[in-house]
Amino acid sequence: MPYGRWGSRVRLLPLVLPVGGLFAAGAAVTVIQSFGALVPLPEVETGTDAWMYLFADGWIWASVFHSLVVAVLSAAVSVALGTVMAWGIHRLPGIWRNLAAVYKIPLILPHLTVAYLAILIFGQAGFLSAAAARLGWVAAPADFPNLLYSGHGIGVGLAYVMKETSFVILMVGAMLRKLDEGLVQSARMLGASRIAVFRDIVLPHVRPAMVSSFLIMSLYALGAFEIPWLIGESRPQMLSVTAYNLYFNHDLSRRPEAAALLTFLMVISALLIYGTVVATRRRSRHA
Amino acid sequence: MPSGSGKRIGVGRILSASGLFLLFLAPVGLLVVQSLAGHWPWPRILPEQWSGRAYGILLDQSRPVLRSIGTSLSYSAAATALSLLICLTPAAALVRGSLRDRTAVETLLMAPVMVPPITFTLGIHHVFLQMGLADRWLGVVFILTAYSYPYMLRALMAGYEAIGEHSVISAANLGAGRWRRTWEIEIPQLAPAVVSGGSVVFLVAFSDYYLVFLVGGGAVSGYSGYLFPFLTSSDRPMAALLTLLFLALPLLLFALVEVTVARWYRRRGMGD
Repeated sequence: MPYGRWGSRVRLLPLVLPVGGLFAAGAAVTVIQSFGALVPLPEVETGTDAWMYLFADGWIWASVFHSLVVAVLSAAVSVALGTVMAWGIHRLPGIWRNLAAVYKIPLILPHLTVAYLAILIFGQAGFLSAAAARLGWVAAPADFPNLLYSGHGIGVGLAYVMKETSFVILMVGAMLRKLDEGLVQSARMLGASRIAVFRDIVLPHVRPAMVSSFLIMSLYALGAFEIPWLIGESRPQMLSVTAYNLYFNHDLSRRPEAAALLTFLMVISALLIYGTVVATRRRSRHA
Repeated sequence: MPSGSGKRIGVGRILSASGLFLLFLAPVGLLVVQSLAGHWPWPRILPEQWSGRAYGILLDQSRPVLRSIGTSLSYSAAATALSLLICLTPAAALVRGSLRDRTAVETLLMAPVMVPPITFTLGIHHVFLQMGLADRWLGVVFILTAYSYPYMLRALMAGYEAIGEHSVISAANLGAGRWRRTWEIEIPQLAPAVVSGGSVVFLVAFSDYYLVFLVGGGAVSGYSGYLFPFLTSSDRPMAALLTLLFLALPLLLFALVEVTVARWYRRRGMGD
């Protein structure tokens, strides 16, 4: 039974406190601190000083670029891998498909432990390095490419791909369950190749799930803290770690800079969300 | 054979399926081997010596380990319950209500999982310090809820959409009052959504390190806080073993929930 306008509003009330009192208040404190207020020290930069100081420095732009590249590339690779795997799993017969539930393992593993796994697997003394030595490709750990601390964010990116591909399989897999099997069968009977079926039927069908998981994961990777804290490089650095260090490790007078950086991160995220929403809307209008 | 009908399964498909299992199971295998490794010099594929030392330490340290797991379970369960409590009526309002700008409200309510948590949680920490909620169990529960309730909201909205209004309207026409409609029609049909939303919220809370570390300080420390120093230490077997435990606990819990829900349905005579 539909509720009236007031009935609906009253029913929304339980979320006012968490959204207004915590989320919005927390974001507001960050924005205000970036202008020098609400900082537990009298003699800090005020007004737009922190913004000027922060962005006059060249390295911050290097970190911004670094964070965006890591976030977007790791999300793109996860979406590509996850979509192909989801289709592969979807086409498996019953028992095999049940076994394929192992893909959920990385969903359960916390980010911290995925970072640890990345050290075990991709580190210079890790499993891949040892395997490469067995094959005679490298003679010492130092010969193996320094994936984790290369300065290109490869280690952090690989850790995100390890963690997020499962999420894409979950999202795209749910969408595939609504795919009309008849479409696939008729296309095959009319002579479409497997690749054509995937490109012309499957991909358009799962595109919304691909777009939304890409958005969720690139935003997550852009601002998440745990993986780059454990295995990230320090120059250039993921913005979340830079902001955290500025906020806590340095003296309090640098807190407005940390807040300015976080506000900037908020703006980038909002733009990313807005851009994706607009892009999806335009596409669905043309389709 | 057309794809999907799957009576005959090609060799290629079996191979790619096996590759998939390997890809996802291999890291777990690596953790098991690492946890049992005594001496493992590079570039050996398997350890030179095996050792149960890490397992011995775990048994020895069972008291602090269990205490940290208990803390994690308690704040995760509380955050899950609180999320359910605050999302139940808003989810109904979003699905069935006549809100003029539903999309805008929904986007705002989903924002905490879209915007990077570090941008608003440092501010919340600042507020919690003023309110005396920092370094407190309740503060940890609040911040975990504020960050993860959108997963519950999404799941409940999907649940309400799946129920449809017909059965509720029919019940009303047959004379069922509001409470009977809620209790006998909506809640049982909503249970799968509660379980799936609850699983995600629980998992997010249980595996979180950063928020608990930020708000809990040293005072409230869960299993992730117990594990962290081992991950950065050189004691790889111990880190691997504790990571395996981190994987096993939620699996165990989800299995338990599944069995309980199935029994609950059977008792209410709804088959399986």
